[in-house]
Amino acid sequence: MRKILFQVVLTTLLILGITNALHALTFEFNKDKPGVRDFALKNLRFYIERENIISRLPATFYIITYFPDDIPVIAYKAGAKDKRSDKAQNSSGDLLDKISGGKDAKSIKGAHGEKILYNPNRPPEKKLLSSYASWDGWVFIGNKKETLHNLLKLYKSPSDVAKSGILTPAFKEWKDGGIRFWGDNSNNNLNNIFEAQKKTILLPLVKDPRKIHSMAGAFTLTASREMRGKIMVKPVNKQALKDLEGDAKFISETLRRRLVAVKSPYEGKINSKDGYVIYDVYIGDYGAAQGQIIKGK
Amino acid sequence: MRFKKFTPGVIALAILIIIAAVVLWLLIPLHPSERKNSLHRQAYMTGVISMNILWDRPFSSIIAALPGNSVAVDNIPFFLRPLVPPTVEFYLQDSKAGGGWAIAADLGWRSKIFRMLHTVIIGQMQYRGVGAIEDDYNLRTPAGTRLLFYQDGGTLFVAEGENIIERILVPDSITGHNVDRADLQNSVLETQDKRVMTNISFSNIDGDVTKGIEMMEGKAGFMLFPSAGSLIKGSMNIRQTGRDTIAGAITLVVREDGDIEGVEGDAAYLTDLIDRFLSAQDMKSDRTINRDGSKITIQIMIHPDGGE
Repeated sequence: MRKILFQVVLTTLLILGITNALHALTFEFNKDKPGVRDFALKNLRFYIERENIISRLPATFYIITYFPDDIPVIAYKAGAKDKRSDKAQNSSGDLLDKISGGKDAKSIKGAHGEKILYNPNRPPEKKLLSSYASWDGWVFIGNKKETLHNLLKLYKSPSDVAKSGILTPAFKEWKDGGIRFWGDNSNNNLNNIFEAQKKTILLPLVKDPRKIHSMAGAFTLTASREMRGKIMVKPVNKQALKDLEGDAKFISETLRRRLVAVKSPYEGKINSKDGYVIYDVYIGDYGAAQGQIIKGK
Repeated sequence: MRFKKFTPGVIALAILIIIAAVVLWLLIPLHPSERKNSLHRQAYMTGVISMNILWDRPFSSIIAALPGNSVAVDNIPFFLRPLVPPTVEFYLQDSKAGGGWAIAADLGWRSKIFRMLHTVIIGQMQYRGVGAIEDDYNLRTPAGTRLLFYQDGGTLFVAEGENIIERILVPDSITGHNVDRADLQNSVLETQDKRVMTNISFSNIDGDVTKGIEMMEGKAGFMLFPSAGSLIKGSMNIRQTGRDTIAGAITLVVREDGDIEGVEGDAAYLTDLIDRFLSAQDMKSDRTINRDGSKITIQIMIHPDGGE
């Protein structure tokens, strides 16, 4: 129960974020920044043959949620170095073979001519990593081949994954953040994601996600499991700003009550500035109350 | 033969009359037990809950949204639902009086049926793992505690805790700590208003509510009501107003040296939780919180149909 609660809260915190027409909610992780490697390994669970593939990814990688009925897609630039893991690059081909089933792999053609390979022996309903696409030096890994196909259609070039879009926050955490995220509500994307959450959680943290225009945020972590971050939400109008401010206060209070119970320091400050809701958060020990953020089998 | 004088129709009529008489006798209610009258005296929390709300709209809409509700409600076959008592009273006894809880239900026309079925029901309780039968009225739960399943007159008692069980079985056994909370608790149980779905009252004089909340918080790892220690007493009343609207009124009384701001903040947070839970089920709610001296009153209106 407590894990689920914290998972929901933390997910929402990380979800509160900004972009243009990329139509996807994107998380960027930089394992070279303090605390991020540890955080990612413990909280992002994408397994292939009982091995969490996060350790095999380059230092900077992306987790993209677009289709609420499927697991998120992992994206990274192939050939990028993870300073602390030679294994990552040396065995990249081996990893992709395991995902697609090696010799059994089948393929479809993507919208930009890229090849999407998938494992026909892994039923998509099991939500396992079973397909990947290579496109101009970038790799995208996911479950359903259709998800990859539809997601890649949204990008003009694969490096669009790393573009934050409409809102590029100027705050310090954005430049220094080891974890950043952005998303917008074009095509009802965020709304769909939040609505899908309502089916699995009892308490919606954002009552009406349609009131979010776009959002972005960033967190800096430390090796001693401190987390400091700033989240910026652009509402669709003035009335929505008031409502989203109420949601942010509720999220902050929920976090506070959880963290006080596990004796972790917490500071939360919410204010509205230039038409944005801004949430400053500090967690003294995120590990004390932590559940996983995104689960992929 | 004298029987030859009776036609089959007369015999059938006589049998029907006998059956009707037996059924009528079976349905004549036994007098409610007076043993429950002493239970509220040492209870830190008492309440009465209307059982019809489990399957009557509009409250059933909310229950349907709760996780695990199917286990509680749907497992009762429709033909057995009339056997469920219309209201049950519950009592949580304070720790100084030995702790424990009791449920009392006036069975009305069901009382003789329950008495006849007592052995079957207690046997089923054992079969379903509630506890091992020790004697006619007692089971021993897997946790080792004593569970009472006892009918006195037209009232069925279910209780856990040695002291409170003795209080039911031997009503004159009240000894030791004896804080009479009749003023706080009794009125809650006397409501005759059929629109009342739930009526609960509590006293926190000895800090039992605080202990209960702290225990829940410890298990959940979440601060639900950290200012509970500032409360001295309170009550909650839920009733149906109109065809499809539920109104809830919660009154919290804060100690003279209590943290009234904290209580108000906790109350606001909890009502926000309720509001968000309901909104996820497409139900609308309105709430107001008022402070008057040391008393905080929370009014909630719930529209299960979304207020349409």
